[in-house]
Amino acid sequence: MTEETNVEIKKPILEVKNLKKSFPIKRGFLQRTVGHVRAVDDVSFSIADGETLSLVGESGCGKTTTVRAIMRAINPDEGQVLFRTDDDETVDLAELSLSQIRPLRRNIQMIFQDPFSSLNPRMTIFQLISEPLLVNGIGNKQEREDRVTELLRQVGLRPEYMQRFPHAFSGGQRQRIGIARALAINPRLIVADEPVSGLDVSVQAQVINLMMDLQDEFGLTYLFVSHDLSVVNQISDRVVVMYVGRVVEVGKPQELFRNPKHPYTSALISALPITDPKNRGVRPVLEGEIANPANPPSGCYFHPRCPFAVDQCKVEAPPLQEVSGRLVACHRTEELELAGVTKHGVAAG
Amino acid sequence: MQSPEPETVVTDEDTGTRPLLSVEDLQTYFFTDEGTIKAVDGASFDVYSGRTLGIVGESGCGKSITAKSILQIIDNPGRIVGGQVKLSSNGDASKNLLEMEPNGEEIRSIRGGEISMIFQEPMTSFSPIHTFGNQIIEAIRLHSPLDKEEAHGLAVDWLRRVGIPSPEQRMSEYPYQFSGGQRQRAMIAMALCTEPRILIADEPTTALDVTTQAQILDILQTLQKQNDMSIIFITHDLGVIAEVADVVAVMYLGKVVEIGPVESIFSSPKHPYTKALLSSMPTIDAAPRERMPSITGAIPHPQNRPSGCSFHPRCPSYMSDICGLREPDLVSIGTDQQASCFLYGRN
Repeated sequence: MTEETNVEIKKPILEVKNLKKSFPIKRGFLQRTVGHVRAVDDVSFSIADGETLSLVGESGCGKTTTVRAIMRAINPDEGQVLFRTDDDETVDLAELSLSQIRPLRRNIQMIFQDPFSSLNPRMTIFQLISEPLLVNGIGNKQEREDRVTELLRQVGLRPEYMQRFPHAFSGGQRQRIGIARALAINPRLIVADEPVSGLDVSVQAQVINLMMDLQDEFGLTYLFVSHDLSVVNQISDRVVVMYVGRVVEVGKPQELFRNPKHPYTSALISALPITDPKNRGVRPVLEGEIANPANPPSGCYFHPRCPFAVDQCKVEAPPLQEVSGRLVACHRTEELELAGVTKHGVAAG
Repeated sequence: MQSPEPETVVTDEDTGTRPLLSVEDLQTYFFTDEGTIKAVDGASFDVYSGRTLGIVGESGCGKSITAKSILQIIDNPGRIVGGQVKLSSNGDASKNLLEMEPNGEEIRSIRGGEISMIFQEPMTSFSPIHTFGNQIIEAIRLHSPLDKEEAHGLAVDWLRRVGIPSPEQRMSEYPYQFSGGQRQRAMIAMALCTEPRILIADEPTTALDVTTQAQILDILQTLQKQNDMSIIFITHDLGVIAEVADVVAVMYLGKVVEIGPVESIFSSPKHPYTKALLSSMPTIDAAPRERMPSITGAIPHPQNRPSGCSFHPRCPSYMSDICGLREPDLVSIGTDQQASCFLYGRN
């Protein structure tokens, strides 16, 4: 969608700079703080207008905390979240008070993972989808009804269903309702946190296709969060790979997955189940467990599990720097030949 | 309704032996106030020694209920209303598990003994107020005459075999002190410490990250080889099936719609549902931003099962003169594959 390079986005709609968020660990009767979980540890990226940027990583990598901080569902400790408004002004969402943010929320909407708990079971589909309109004081009852009709058609649901309650719908249909609700006030940026991971494969493909169609139709920008590399490959223009609160690699999906530059990206790819039983074989299995963000290892957080780690990796955290049109945080990236996806969908050994 | 000769479904070319476990025309219904839900409606398959049967399907297809029916651990208001589950014994006789009293001595010695089961969420499968060690020791002593000390040694040994570091020390820890991957390892240790002949694994890696999933699949396959154990692997993830299964049964709305060797299922799927499922699977090597082929519509609620072939409202090869009217039987296609679809004969 965008011709921008990975390294510099000229006019980003959203720019996250050095975002940090940690949570205190409280113990004992006095609830003394005994440590901090560094959920997001100096994360930076930017999103161009009309592109889909995906945050990908395993549990505890800080992808959800990052988007929650962007939405100001939690307050970031440090860093900037620069959003370009309709009037081409840049505001720092991390600094504004909640009342200052409210008018900006029209521009940023969210789609959630669980279509069962994210829709109020006591509200009809009409009430659910028109609520953002009501909150923002848009239209009278008739106009809102027309808008909901239009939205339901756009997401592939029959407008006759408007007076039904969420329980009457399947998971995929509920996710469509969630998308219609997010679209109601014409946002520019949609943050989607694992929007298809709760869905069956056959329905997942429908929702991904719908999201891509809507993006083309309305010029939406997506910040897409997922743990599923295959889904991310399908939907993204660029991918940010995270590990224990840090960005380890940023690049276009086809480059990143075919030719990873960070050992963690390569390990993620080789851990994917194969897609063809003929290619079954022995593959390298990444040893160990994801580092504990409350007590991360020194230097590069990935070094205890990294097959290529040298002494430097144990002491010095690698900065995120440009390597052949991509951003990589690894000391040894220039000298490594890492396995990626081949045309059979398996990592070459 | 079901007419397969199970022997023709899978021939075990290595040994030519009889199946270890044979499920025939299993029917498990749930009797609710709103009506009867046919969760499993005529499922048949065989499990061979040392092999892995993969059962794959989307939510509501009855794959978990099938697994639970084998051990008769169906919750109310569910009831097994028909079929047979034959477990071959060491001699030549076979026992029908469904004829046993659900709470009787006989089936309880099989559960966790000859047939073990592991579940998706290891947190809910362990007691939170007992140590791992005590729970594993209890499982061992239920099924063997070992004393406490011997059982302790065996439990430590198993924790080591599933790759838990410093197992001696971790025996005295509680489930909340383990990470998700470690809990799943501990559950595998608990399930396998009695050296079962069959392991039923119900979505054992679904809640895990990909790198942990790869580790767990690795352990299961290694232990399977060591013990010549059969695995019934239940998952919604076709990638995992491609990785572990020897034979695949594809289920849709309570029925096995296709069954065959894993290579055949992936290289030449026969049932339109299998084809659609495979093509809607996102892959890492696909061209980015390409629209995926998807199956139209949603999985019907099992209570409103469509007439005839239950896939017909979503089927791209729907034939109006037959599919909505009659239910297809499983028919053999080629030597070892079976599919229930009128495209392959109308008898």
